[in-house]
Amino acid sequence: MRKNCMFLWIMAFLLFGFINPVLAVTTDMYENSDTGYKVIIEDDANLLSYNEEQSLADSMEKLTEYGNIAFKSISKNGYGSASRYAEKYYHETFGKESGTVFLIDMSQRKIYIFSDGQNYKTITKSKAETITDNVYKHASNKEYFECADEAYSQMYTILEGGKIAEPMKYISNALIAVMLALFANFAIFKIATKNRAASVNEQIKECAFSCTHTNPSVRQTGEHRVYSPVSDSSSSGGSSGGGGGSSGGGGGHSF
Amino acid sequence: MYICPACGAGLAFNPKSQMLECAYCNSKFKPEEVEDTQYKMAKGQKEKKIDNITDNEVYDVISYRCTQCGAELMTTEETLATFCSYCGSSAVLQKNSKKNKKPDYIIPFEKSKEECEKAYKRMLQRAFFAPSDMSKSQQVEKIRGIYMPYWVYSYEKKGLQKDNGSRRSRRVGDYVYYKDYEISTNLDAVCDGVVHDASANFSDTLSEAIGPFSISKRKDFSPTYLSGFYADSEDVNNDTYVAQCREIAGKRTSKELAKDSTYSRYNAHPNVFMDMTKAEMGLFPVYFLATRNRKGDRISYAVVNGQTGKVAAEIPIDFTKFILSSAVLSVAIFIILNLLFTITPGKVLGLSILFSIISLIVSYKQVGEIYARENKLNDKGVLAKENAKVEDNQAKTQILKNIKIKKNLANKANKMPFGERIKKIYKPLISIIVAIIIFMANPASDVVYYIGAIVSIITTIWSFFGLIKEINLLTTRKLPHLEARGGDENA
Repeated sequence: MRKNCMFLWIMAFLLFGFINPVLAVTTDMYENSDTGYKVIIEDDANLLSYNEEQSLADSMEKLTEYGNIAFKSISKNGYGSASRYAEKYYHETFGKESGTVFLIDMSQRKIYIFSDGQNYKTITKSKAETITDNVYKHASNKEYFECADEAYSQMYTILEGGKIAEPMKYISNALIAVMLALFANFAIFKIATKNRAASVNEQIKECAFSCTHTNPSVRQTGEHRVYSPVSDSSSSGGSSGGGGGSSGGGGGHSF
Repeated sequence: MYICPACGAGLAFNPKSQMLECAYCNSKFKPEEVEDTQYKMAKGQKEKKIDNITDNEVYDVISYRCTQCGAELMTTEETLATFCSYCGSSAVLQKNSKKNKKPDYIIPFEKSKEECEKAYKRMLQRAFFAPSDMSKSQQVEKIRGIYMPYWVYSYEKKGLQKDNGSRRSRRVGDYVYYKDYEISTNLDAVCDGVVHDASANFSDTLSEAIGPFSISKRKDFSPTYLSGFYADSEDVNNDTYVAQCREIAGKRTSKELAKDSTYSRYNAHPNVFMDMTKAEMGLFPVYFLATRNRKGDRISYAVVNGQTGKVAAEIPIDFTKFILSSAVLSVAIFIILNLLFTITPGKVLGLSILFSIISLIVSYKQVGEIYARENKLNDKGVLAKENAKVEDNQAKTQILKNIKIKKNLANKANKMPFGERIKKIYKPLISIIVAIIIFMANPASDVVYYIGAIVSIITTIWSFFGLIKEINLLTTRKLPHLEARGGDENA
C-alpha cells in the first residue's frame, strides 16, 4: 500500500512536471517582513553566476515594497510565446498578488516583463515595452546580469514615481505624427474642396412636373421558383460565461 | 449698349432690383420695356434703330474672341473687354459685331458680383492650402458674370406603362414559388426643365456642382438682360445629354408611380422611359473666375451660380502652405500621442505600410482621373464637340475610329492602362517592399525598424509630393484650355 502510494506520488510529480512547462524549483532569495512580498530568482538557462544572482537579489529587494519580484530565465518554452509563459509563470508563482516578473526566454530570444495587481497599474504594458526596449541591447551583447539589473532599476524608478528615458516612444510617435499629419491635411483638403454635384432629387425639385395615372390593372403572367433551402432554426444556446481574465499584462522585446 | 432715355448714359442690368439702371441719373427701367422702345449705340457712337425686333430669331451682339485660347464671349457692351474670362489672358481680344441666335429663355442674374466675391472668399477660407494668389483682391475682382448656354429638356410619357412584379405564393420543399404579374396603367406624365450646360468651355463637373437652377424663374429672352454681362453660345448639340436627362426625368416619374400601393403590393419597381418632347436653349447666370498658376501654363476655374450663389471651384494646393501646416499639425499630434501611446518600432513599421497602401490607392485613383481629364475623356460636351469636328473632316473614318477608342476607354472604369498607372505609383510600393523585407528578417535591433519606417516615411512624403502635383493637375487645365479655332495652339 505504501509502495503504491509512493509510486503514485512519483508518477504525479513527473506527469505534472512534464505537462506544466513552468514548473521548476522555486528559490526564494528574500522575503520582505513588512509587506510579505518575495524576491525569486530562477535561472533555468544558467545565464547568471552565483555572485550575479546574489547581487541581482540585492537590487530586487527594494521592489518588494510594492509587490513580489521575480527573475526567470528559460531555454525551452512550452507555451510558444514569451508573453504566455511569463503570464502563466507569474500566476502559478504569485497567484493574484501584486508583483512583476522579468523573463529571459533564450528559445525565443526575447525578454519580457509581466506585472499584475497593484504593480500593473504602474508598470503598464507601455512601460514594460519601454523598459525592455531600453535594456534589450545588453541581452543582445550577452550581458544578462546588466540587462536584468537595469530593468529592475528602471522598474523601481517608475514605482517610486520617477521618470525613465523613453527614446522609443518619442521616435515612434514622431514618425507616426509626421505620417498622420500629412494624411490628415490631405484628407481635410480633399473634403473641404470637394465639388459635390447636385443630386438627382435636387435637380428634379426644380422641374415642372405633373403625373396622373389610371388605376393599375394587374395580370398574372407566370410563375417562377427560387431555390431556398429551409434552414435549421433550432440553435444551441451559447455558453453563458467564461473564466475571469487576468488583470495583468506586460511587454517585451527581442534581442 | 442700351442707353438711358433720361440722360443718354449707358444702362446696366442690376441683379438686386432686376431692372436696367443708369449709373448717372439713377433711372430704372424694366428690361423688356427698354428692348421695345430704346435706341442702341452703334459703332462710332452713331445711333441707329435696333433692327433685331424685326427678326425674332437673332439679336445683335459684339463678340470678343480671345487670340490665345480661342474662346468667344458675347456682350451688348461697346466697351472693350480687357482680358479673357476663360483663360485669364490679357492678350488682345478680336472684336466683331454679329447676329446671334436668340435663346428661348434667360434666367437673369440675382446675385451681385460683390455677393459672389464674398461667397468665393468664404469657400477659400475652407481651403486652407489654396494658393494665396487665388484670394488676392485684384484677382477676385476679375470675376465676371457670364450667361452660360444650357439645354432645357422636356419629357413626357403618355400612354400605357407596363411594369413587372411578383409575389410569393408557396413553398415546396427547398423551393419558394413566386407568381409573376404585369402591372399596367395609363400614364400621363410631364417633366419639364431638366437642364444641362451646352458649352464645351464649361466643365461638366463644375456645371453639375453649381446646380440646380430654379427654372420657374426663367423669363423670355431679351438681350437687355445681357447689359453689363457676357454670354457664351452653345457648341454642344442637344443630343449629347438627352439620355442623361431622360434618366433624371424617368426616375422622378417612376418614383411618383411607385407611390401607388399596387406597385408595392406586387413588389414592382416602375421604370418609366420618357420621350423627349423638346430641347430649348436657355442662358443661365454664372459668375466665372479663371486663375492662372504661377508658371502661367495652367488655369483653374471657380464658378458661382448667379441665381443661388452656390460656389464650385477647382482649388490647387500651395505646396509650401501644405508642408508648413503639416509640420505644425505633426507637432500637435506628437504631443497628443505621447500622452496616449507607446508604440513599438515594429508597429510603427506596420503603420507605415498602412499609410503607404492608402497613398498607393489614392494615387492610383488620381492618376486615372488625370489621364481622363488630360485626354478629355470625362466630359461629354468635349467629346461631343470633338465628334462634331470630325464630321467636317475628310479623314473622317480614321479619326472617328480614334474617338471611338477614346470613348471606349472612357467607359472603362478609370480609363488608364494598368501598366501606365503602375509606372506612376511605384513610390509607395518601394516602402511596402522594404517593410515586408524587414518583417521577414525580424531583426532584434530597433534601429532596423526605425530605418525601415524612415524609408517608408520618406517614400510616403515623396509620393505625397506626387499626390499634390496630381491634385494640382486635376484642379487645373493646361493652356490653351479650349483649343478653339483661332486660339493660339502653341501657347
